[in-house]
Amino acid sequence: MKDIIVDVITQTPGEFEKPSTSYKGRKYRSIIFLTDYAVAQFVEINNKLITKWKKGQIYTSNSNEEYASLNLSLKARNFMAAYHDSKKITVKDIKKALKTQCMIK
Amino acid sequence: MNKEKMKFKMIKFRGNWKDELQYYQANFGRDYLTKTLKDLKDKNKWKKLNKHSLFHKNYNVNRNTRGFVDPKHMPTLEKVRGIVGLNDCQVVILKYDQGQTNLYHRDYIPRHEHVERPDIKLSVRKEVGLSNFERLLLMLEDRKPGQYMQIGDRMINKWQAGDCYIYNGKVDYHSAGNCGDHPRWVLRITGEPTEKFNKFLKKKEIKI
Repeated sequence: MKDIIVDVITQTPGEFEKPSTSYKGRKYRSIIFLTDYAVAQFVEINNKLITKWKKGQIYTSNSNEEYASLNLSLKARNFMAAYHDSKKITVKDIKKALKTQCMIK
Repeated sequence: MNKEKMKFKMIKFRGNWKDELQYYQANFGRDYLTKTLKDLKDKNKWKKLNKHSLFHKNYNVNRNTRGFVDPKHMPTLEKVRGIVGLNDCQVVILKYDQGQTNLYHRDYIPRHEHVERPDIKLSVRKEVGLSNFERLLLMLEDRKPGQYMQIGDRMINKWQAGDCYIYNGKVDYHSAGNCGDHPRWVLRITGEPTEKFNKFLKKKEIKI
């Protein structure tokens, strides 16, 4: 099983991730929301909008699914995107992967 | 559908305007608005009125472009002006390329914004500020991946060419943007409502 890759992202007003199916060679992509949902923050997976999330929630998609996001609110949106092979992932797994990733860098 | 959540009304326009979009020119820039607002003696008022544009500028946020309807090359779109029943009707094409947005905001229509092509004369208002206006958004193409719109608490990622959204932009916060590969095209219609507009609102479908 390949290592988990973690991206930490701050999406300021107007910033976006264009529609993509890039899973960085892994089977799954999990978003970990670091801030609560605000109206006009768009997160879409396979044509389905995700809204009203809470800080700490995780949403996983598989590599067949297209994802995109766009922040049209006036607040920054913080989240982590973890790319992994195991079907389930926990915040603990992501923190561990992030720590290893930072040490390597 | 929950009526509390239904922040807008929709009327379907049917017509063929696809070929007309090739004549679009981004000839209605916001520098014009800023320049006109700067003429105001009260700087605080200028800042207040131009807050939305300043926010985009300060955060380096890329905004959509806007262009007038050219009646010679866009006869179908020009017809919309006469159909909706708005006085001093301004019709502007909005184009959102990838990364272009109009962030969360409410509308105000100062008189200098309420202008159009030089060949169309509009009534001049005395006050800069809110006026009695309606604003409609007519989707000119089917929705493509990465294109979004929000009205009130409704987040929208599905629409078809011809869907016309009518909502109270003075009250309900709204936004729109595009992070996809294809441009998002919208016809923005603004004007003062007449009795004809009230009749228009009762329709479900319009052929142009």
